[in-house]
Amino acid sequence: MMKNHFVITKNVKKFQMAVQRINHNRRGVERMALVTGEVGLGKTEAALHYGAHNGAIIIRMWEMMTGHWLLRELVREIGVEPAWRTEKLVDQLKEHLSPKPRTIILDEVDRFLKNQDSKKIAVLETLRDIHDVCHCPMVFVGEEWIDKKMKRLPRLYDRIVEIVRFEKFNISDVKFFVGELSEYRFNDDAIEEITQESGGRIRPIMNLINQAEDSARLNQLKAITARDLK
Amino acid sequence: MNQLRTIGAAILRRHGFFSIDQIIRATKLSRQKCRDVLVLFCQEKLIRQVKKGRKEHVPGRPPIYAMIYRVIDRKRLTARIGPRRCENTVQDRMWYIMRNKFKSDGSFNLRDLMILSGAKKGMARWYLKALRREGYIIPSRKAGPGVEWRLTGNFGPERPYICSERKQKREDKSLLNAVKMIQRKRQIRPALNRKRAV
Repeated sequence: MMKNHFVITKNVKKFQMAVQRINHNRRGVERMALVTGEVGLGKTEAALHYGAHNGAIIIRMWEMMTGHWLLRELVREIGVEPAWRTEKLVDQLKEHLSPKPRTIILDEVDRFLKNQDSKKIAVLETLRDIHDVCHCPMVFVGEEWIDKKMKRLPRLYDRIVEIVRFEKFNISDVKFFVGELSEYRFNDDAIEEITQESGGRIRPIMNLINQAEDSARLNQLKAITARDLK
Repeated sequence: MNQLRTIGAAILRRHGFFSIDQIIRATKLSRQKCRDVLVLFCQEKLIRQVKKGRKEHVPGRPPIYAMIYRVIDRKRLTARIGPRRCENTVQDRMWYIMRNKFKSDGSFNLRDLMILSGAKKGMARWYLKALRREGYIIPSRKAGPGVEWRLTGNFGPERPYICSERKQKREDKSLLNAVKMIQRKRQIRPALNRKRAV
């Protein structure tokens, strides 16, 4: 049986370190971080794990999200009933976030950088305003090209002090990951096979481990080789 | 319920001013205990003493004062007598994962709770069961392994307080059943009358 626990991989460590670094009280030093990487490398899961253990606010950005909608979501996440007017919403945010700044993690931010839509850029600029006024650390999570697109917004990009790139798993990462999750011993050829077949992504790796464990249980194996994976 | 809560609840039931005698009558506790709790509430600035008039003196007995109080902060008093909750407990983390997973994926399962919140299997299962009993979550299909759960509404970031007193729940249930029975009878009777008329 695969173990049910969160594995602190190299990528997760980088994420946690970056968020810790932007959580400071120094005035004048910015508090924005950017997390990029391909699909299926565990960016959202890392953010959720960090948020659950450190009380961060996580907002999932929607394609149709407007500035008002975002503010309402933020106020609701603080635990306050959102006001109707935008001005009041900003006041509510100031009132509750300024004395106790909380880390805000924004997932799927790449949706706001696909095309130069003025409304979407206004949402990002609103986030910058919140960062400047409330001094709360902000983490933008998105696809791998997000940092290049963000350069188009120099006022926002200047405030980003940490860039974390989630990388695909290499053989040593897969070995560590498998060792942490599986109760069976995997031979080196099996690890190589998993790395090649999965392309270094977490979800396919998990599926392959599951399949290998099933076959090991059926055949009463102690160690899993590359042949058992086929 | 402890004495502090009993007295606090009695104060909240009285709107505005109250005297120590009224609290003693409502709680049926000793004068000394009531006075101690009221002094504590005064120190915490939840209530304020307004008047301390001496009662009619009975010879051979110590003097008794008729003290009148007023609630300063009703909200804080309610919070003071309510159950206190710690922050960043396993339940907090599980609630956080439930909300965020539901918002992003539309559902969550036992495995998500165990992996992301770091809860043990037994704890996560108990919490899901308790929330289901209270009506906060519903399963996507008949409960079993690999079942996906959904929240029934937007309940906010504060985790709900789950009552562990099952006895009270049963009483509530029986009361609910009785109400349902009465409602059913009311629905059946007109139908019977209509049949008789025909």
